Amino acid sequence: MLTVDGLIAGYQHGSRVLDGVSFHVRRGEIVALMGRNGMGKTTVLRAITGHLPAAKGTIALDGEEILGRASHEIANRGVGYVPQGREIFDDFTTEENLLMGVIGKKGLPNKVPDWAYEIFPMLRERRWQRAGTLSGGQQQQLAILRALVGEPKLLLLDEPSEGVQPSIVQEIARTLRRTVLEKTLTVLLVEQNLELVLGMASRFLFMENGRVVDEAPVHLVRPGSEFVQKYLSV
Amino acid sequence: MGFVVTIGLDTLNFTLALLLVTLGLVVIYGLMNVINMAHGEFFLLGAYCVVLMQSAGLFFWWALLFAPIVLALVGLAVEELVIRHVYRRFIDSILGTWGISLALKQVVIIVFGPTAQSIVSPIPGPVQILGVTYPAYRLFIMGFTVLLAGATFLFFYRTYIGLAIRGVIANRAMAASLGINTRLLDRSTFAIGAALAGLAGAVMAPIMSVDPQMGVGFLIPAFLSILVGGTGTLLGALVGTAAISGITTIVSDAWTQVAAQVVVFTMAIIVIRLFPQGLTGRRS
Repeated sequence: MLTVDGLIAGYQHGSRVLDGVSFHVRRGEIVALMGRNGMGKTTVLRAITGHLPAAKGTIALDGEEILGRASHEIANRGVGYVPQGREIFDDFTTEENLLMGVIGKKGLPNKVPDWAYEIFPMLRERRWQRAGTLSGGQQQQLAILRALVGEPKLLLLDEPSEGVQPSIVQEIARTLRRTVLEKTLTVLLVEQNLELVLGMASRFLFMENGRVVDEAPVHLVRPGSEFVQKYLSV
Repeated sequence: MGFVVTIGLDTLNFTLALLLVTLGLVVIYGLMNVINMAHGEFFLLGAYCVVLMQSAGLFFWWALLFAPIVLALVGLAVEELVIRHVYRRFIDSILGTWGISLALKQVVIIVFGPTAQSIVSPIPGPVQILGVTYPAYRLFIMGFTVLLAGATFLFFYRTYIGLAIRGVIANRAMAASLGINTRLLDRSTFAIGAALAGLAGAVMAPIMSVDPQMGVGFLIPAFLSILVGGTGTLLGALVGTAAISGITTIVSDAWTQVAAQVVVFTMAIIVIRLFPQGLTGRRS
C-alpha cells in the first residue's frame, strides 16, 4: 500500500535528516516507526504528506508516485494526517474542526458523518465548544477524528500520546485499534510511548541517523528486549 | 433637535461609508495579513467603472455588477503576478503593492486624464427623514453598506467556503493536509477583497470627486479603523470605523477638519499603544 524508497531530505547545507529511507507498509497493517529523538521520524511523515517539496526518492501510494504532489492532492488520495502537537483550529468549535476534515475532500458531503461522535462520545458533549478550550486528550481525540471523517486509506499519526494523560492514552489506543479494524485502515505511527505502541502496532520499524535500519514483529519487542536497548533507550 | 438629527445622520453616514470602503481591506489585510497599498486604486478603478458605464450611456445600477467583476479579475491578476510571491514578507508586500498602486494610477491618468469626472446621481434630490431633509442617495449608501456587511459576514462565518478560507488563514499547512486547495482559496479570497473595494468605489462615485487621487483619502482611515478595531474579525472593523468616523465627524463639526485629523491620529496612537491587538483583539 505504501512504499518509500531511497527517500532523501535535509537542510541546504549538507546535513541530511533523511539519508535514504526505505520501507514498505501493507494494507491493513499498523506499523510503528520508532527511534530516538532527532532520527527523522517526523520528517518521514512530513515528506509523505507533501510538506517537504525538496525531498527526493520515491513515495508510492498503491503504486502511484505521490512525492512532489501538493499536500491537498495527497490528502485527497487517501492520506490522513494527525501531526505532532495536534494542530487543531483553536478558534473553531469542535464541529467546525470536524467539518474542516470533510469540506476539502472530493466526493464527501459537507457534513460531519453520524458515526463520528460514536468513536469519541466525549466530543459530542463539547460539539459547540471552542476547540482551544478542550483538554490535551480531547484535542488529540479531535485531531484523530478530524482525520478519520475524511475517510483516509492510510492514517499517519505523529506522537498521539504527547501531552495526554495516561488513562486517556490507553483509551485512545483501544479506540484506534478497533476503528482501524472496522474501517480496514492502514496506519503508520510515530510514538515514543512504548506501551501505547505495544498495544496497537503489529510491526516495528527502527530508524537511526536518517535511515530505517531494522524491523521486528511486535512479539519480539518487549521492554528491556534487545531492540529496545539498541534503538530506543537513551 | 434637527441639528442633533443631522449630526447623527452625518456620523452614521460617514461610519457606514468608511465601513463600505474598509470591507475589502478587512478581507485582504484583516484576514489575509497582506498590506495592500494598491487598495485605494482598487477603489478608484471601481469608481471609474461608473465613469465608463456613464459614457457608454448605460444605467448607473449596472456598474454595481460591472465594477466588482472587473476588480475581481484585476485582483486575480495582481495576486498571480505579485502578491503570491510576497505572502508573509511584510516589507516586500508594501513595496510590491505600492508599485501596483503607482502603475494603476498612471493607467487611469493615461486613459481618463488627470481631471475630475462628474457622475450624475442615480437618486437625485433630498428626502424628509426624522424631520430633516437629507440627500436620498446617501441614505441608499447607508442601507447598501448594512446589507453588504451582513452578506460578507454570512459568507465568511456561515458558509463552508468561508470556513475553509478561515481555516487556511489560521493554519495553512494543516488545511492542506485535510485536502483543502490553499492556493485556490488564496486567489479567490484576494479577488473577493478586490471586488469589495471596487464595489465600494462604484457606490461612492456619485458623491465624490472622481479623480486619480480619490483612493488616498479613504485608505488611511480604513487602515486605521482595522488597526484600532482589531484584525481578523468583521466586528473589529465595525468598532474601528465607528470610532474613527464618529470622532472625525463630531470634532470637525464642532471645531475644524484639521483638528479632527489631529484628534483621530492621537487617539489611534493611544489605542494601538494600549491595545496592540486592537479593541476587539484577543491576545494570543
